[in-house]
Amino acid sequence: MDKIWIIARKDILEALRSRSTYVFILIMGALTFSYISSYMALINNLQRQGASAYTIYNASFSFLNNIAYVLPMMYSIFVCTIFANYSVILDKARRNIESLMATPASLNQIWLGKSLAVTLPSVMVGIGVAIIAYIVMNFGFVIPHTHRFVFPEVSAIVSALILVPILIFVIVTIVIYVQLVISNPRIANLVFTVIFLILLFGANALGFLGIEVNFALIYMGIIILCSIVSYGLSRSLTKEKVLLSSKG
Amino acid sequence: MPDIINLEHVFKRIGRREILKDVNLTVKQGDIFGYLGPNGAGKTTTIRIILGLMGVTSGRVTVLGQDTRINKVRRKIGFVLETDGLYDNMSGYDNLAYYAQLYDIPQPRVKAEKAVRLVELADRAKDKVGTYSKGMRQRLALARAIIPDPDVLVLDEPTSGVDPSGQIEIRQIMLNMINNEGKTILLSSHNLDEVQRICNRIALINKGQIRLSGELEKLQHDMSRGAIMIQTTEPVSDLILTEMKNQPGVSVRYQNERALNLVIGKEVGVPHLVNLLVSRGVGIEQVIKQEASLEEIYTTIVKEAEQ
Repeated sequence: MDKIWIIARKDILEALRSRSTYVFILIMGALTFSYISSYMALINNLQRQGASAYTIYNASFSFLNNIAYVLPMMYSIFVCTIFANYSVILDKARRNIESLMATPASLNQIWLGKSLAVTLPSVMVGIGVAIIAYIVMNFGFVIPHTHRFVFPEVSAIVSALILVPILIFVIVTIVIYVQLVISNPRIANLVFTVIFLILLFGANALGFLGIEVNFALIYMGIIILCSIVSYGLSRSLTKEKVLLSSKG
Repeated sequence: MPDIINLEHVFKRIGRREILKDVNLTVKQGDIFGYLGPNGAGKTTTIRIILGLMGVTSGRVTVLGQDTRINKVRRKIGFVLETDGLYDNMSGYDNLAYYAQLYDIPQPRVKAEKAVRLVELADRAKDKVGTYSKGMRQRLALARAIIPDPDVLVLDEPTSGVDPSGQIEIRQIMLNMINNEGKTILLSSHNLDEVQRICNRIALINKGQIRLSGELEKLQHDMSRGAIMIQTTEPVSDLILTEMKNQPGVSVRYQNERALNLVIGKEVGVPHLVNLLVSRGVGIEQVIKQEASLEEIYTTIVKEAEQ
């Protein structure tokens, strides 16, 4: 565990020096604004139809509850695309990975360390921004209509604080594996973009179609699936594969 | 002396390419072992195998009697690879501390401080490595290699791209490691002069095969057999030179105005050649038995392999 943390900490510090993190936070702010617009459209529609305060509260709760499931995951995945540009990609481009593998650290420790280096800051920034966005939405736009703070379900909070970090970690381990063994590791980052787009458009589509889904259950299913895949991959990872896919 | 690095009948194939063919290599305790060969000969692959970065297709590799794919064994191996593996955005000191932690060294910062002093980088240790010269980077990489106090150092071209004064400093550090600390060094290098200066044993690899291996002095002695230089009082005419070349077992390696550099076989003795020259009116100043330089050995072996 020690070496995993040593590797992760070094990569996190290196990645946090990047300005792109702060640019991405601004983009997340802009994305939040699109959700606010959707919420306002929903409320205006209800008000035009002469909906009661109770109906407006229920609609607000339903909207915000979905947000509480989706935003932490979506933002964390979004931030992953920055942090995943460091650690493995840079180490392979500069061929530092070779020196790292020649130390007593095992390849699995390197793999997990690099995965943590992407997961931890992504989850902290992603969930942090999602919580702030939730609070801002509540105070700025929801409370004027509902006259009280709308809390999400407990399962949404559990999902945001426990399931999402685990889910991000297992997805990242798979992406980092791919980065380690292919010669153009940036391609692996497309996984994050695809997941992000699915969440972005999928969640909107579900809301538009009025379909209710159990996000917590879906997240758990994906965690189990990705964990099995990740375990399988761990058995096929060799230093030689990493070395031969590095430049030079 | 016990074997520190041992490769027995090692074959390595990557895809369809056979990189190493039946490589046998032994580095003994206290050796500075020079590993030579042209580009693409298989030196780096050998080093990667020794460091456990690559497996072998067949054969056996041990370092300190153990398989280097075992993580614990690598605690006893220091290394400098072709690319230095240093992080540009971190200070020299932080780079060393980072690697020291990966070797489970207690008080990694104290050890890092000692190491930067040893390679005379203490005054630049807090600067980012990105600002270092090539020589400074190589010295820092060497400091990283010695941080875990390893029993064996595997160095892949540690003086490559380093200016002459930097090369001298790095050589001195290597010699100190051997003389004062009893380490063993495997040194892969293109710098024949460097290898000749500091190595006691060498191996020459070409096209994946070890062509020559052993004690450097003995190899030089063996390869010099029959090499002589005859210094004359006046230039040797082409006619006499042709006559010399026609003697059985004699080949002229080169000649300048008043010196003939020859290799002679068992068929003919030095007195016979001297008499021949004297009888043709050529005065002899002196006859010198020549010792083959490492460069001559290298060139001969590589050329033989090419043919």
